[in-house]
Amino acid sequence: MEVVVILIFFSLIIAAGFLIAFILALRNGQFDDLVTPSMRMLFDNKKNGESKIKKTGEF
Amino acid sequence: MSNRIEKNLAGKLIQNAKPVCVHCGDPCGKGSLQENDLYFCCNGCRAVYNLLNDLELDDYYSIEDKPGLKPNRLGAEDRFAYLDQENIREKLLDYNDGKVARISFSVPQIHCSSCIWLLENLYKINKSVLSSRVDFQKRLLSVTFSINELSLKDMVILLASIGYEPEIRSSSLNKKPKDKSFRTLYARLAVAGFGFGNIMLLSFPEYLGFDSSVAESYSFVFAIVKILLAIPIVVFSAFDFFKPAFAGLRQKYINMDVPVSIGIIILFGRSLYDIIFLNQAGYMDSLAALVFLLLIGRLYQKKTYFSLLFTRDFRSFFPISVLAKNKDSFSSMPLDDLEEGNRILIRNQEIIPADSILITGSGKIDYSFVTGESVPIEVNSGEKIYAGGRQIGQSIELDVIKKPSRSYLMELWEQTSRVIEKQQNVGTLANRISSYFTPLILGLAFITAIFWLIFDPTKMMNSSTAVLIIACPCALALASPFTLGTAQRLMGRANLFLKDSTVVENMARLTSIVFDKTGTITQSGASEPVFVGAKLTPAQKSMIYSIVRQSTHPLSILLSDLLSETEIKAVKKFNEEKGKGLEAEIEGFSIRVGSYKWVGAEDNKKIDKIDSTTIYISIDNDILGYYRIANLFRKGLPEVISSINSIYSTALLSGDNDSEKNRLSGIFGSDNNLFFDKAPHDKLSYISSRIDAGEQVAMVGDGLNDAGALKAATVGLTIAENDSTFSPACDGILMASGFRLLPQFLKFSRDSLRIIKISFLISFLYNTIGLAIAVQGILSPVIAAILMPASSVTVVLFTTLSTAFMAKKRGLL
Repeated sequence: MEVVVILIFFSLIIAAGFLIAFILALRNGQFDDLVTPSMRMLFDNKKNGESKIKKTGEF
Repeated sequence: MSNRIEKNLAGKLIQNAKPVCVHCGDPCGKGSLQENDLYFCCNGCRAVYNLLNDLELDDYYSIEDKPGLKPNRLGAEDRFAYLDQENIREKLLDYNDGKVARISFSVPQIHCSSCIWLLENLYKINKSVLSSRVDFQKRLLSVTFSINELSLKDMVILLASIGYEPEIRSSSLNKKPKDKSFRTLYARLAVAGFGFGNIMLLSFPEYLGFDSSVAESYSFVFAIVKILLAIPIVVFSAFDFFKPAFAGLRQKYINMDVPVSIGIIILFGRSLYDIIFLNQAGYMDSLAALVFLLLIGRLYQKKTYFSLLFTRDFRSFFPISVLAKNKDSFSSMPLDDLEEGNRILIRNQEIIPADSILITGSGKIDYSFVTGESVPIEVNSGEKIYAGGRQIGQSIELDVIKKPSRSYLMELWEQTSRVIEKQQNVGTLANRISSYFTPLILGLAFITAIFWLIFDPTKMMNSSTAVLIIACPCALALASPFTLGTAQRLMGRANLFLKDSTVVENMARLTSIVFDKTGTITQSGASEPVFVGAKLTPAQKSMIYSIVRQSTHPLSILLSDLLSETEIKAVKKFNEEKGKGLEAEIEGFSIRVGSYKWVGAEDNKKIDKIDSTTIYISIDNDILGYYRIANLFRKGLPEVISSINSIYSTALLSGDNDSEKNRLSGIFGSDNNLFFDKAPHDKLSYISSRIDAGEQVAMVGDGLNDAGALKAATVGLTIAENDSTFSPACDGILMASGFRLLPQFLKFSRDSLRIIKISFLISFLYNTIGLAIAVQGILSPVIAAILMPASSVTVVLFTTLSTAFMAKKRGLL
């Protein structure tokens, strides 16, 4: 049964990792604008997939 | 690619009888241009189209149909010259190291995905743009560019040349720090949710009643983990409740956060004691669930409409700089430096930033931002022009008589800001209930403690803390956010956008509704000349049309629009006297069109003098009658007013004269509450006096002249024709299309308050059951973990569903 305790601790550590990742993303501003990315996603790349649209990324 | 699009567009044009501009979609009337198969409504549109095509940016036209905006290239060099001034530039830029600079612009024109696409591909138009990013909801464009290659002024001109002229106003100079409260709330919610899930999981053995020796041996380990998980919830997530509770207590006021905070602290303290000293399970699961649910309520309540601005003051309306005379030439000068006596130059479509006197040129001032009245007013030299008007036509020179910060409207604004500080949240129903509820609960806990102290001291702590835990008004605290939040969302769907959800509750408490006239109950921009007198013959009509189309006076234009279907006759000896009227000879008849005096009506006893805007007509000295310029009332106005009249007391405050008194008293039922010739500060003091008399007043207005009254009112609503109309600071923006629903909105807000009251009853019911258990000292963690979330979930479901139901019943959905 000791293994349950160990597993619980592992699962907690992993879950906490995701929590921290979420908070970091939040602080980065990734959740500030939830609308524009959904529209941006639908833009086609130019001509036969030869992309001219440079992704600007965060700045 | 571009060929395909052109074919497509050409195909569309053949189907439509009337060609429309391929760039902006406006119908191409006179002066339109044709290039191959493509039509353009103006040169500007063609230039943008060709520019984008040359740069292979024609995808702009394939993402959305005809997304373009008419570029305004008019005097761009001069208009943006102030951006070359270092102090202004540095204030506007977010970042500048001399090579690379970053700036955020407000670009209200952004309206579709094509806009996003084009603005994010700015670097293809100009290589000095490094990157650009659009925030669609906030209509914000951030650009990073090489400032040593491309000056800020050229950057703005570039945007203006493709139709996206950014809005740079005085208020852009004082940068406000970004609102990050959403981020913090998300973070608090995430921590609480994380703790909630894991604590629940660790509590399962207790829920299921495992008491085998194995589970027993680990229960202490689990309990310690629960404490570790609960600490961030109490310290970080629940901070949102401690802070307002503490602030309320310092002002000697018990708000809803006080009992919530007491509940959280007692829950945590009691659980710590139980786990560490008694080796029991504790109530950490209930604690986490409570904070998590309450934070969801907070998030739900926090609905904001990013694209609408509810806090605009006068500064967000005025330009940053004006052209002021410096020795012999005009150069741009920041508005803040403008002094009395400065000579300024105002060109077509520019806003007059300060109260001033017209020196040269003829002023045609559109005060629609100020009064809502869109017919421009003519101003002759030597006359006063108030700040906030927009010049239409030729350039004019003005002498400033008051600094912009001391202009009439600005002073009025400052005055209201000082006097009125709306007591936000203090009077809400939830907080009022809390101020009775909290002492009651504390009293009950105290009595329980005394009781058990006498009969069984071992149960004293146990039962009195249980009372405080179970009484924690979680459901009570959720009722308001969920009802009001839902109401706010549903009203938004029906085109009434509220600043925040507390406005719904203020709306429900209203006792009287005060309307502004021009632009509020009348349609702005729609006025219709009505002829009073004998019926005109077609020949007379065509004579009138022939003469008025010679003139550019706004009233002439109005008349010629009305009569444009008629035939044009040859006009001889045309003469226009400023401020008087027109005269000419047509087919041998001498025609005069103009003022009362101009047609010689003074000597004619039969014709009454009318105060409102009128145009008299005479042919061969025979006065046929006059055109009265009547404002068109909004559709459904009589129904709206009579419906509101049955519940509220109504009033009308108009800045105009009382020429329409009779028409209006028919609509309002009486003329007791119709007030005319009210200056902005009269409106403000009228509202304030009624509020001082204990009434809850809503002001429905539109222009800057209502700004003071809107701010002073319990609820200030502005009416907007579309979402880019300027609206002064207010609590809510009602789209003109939703005007006829106004009575329904008011009724619905009352329904919402009723729903809150019912859900309070529901949560009291749960509380009574819980308290009955708690006072006996037999509250187990499992019961608490079931009872508390159950009551919250019931309340949340009840409020959201019944609010949606009522909205449907009121015809808002």
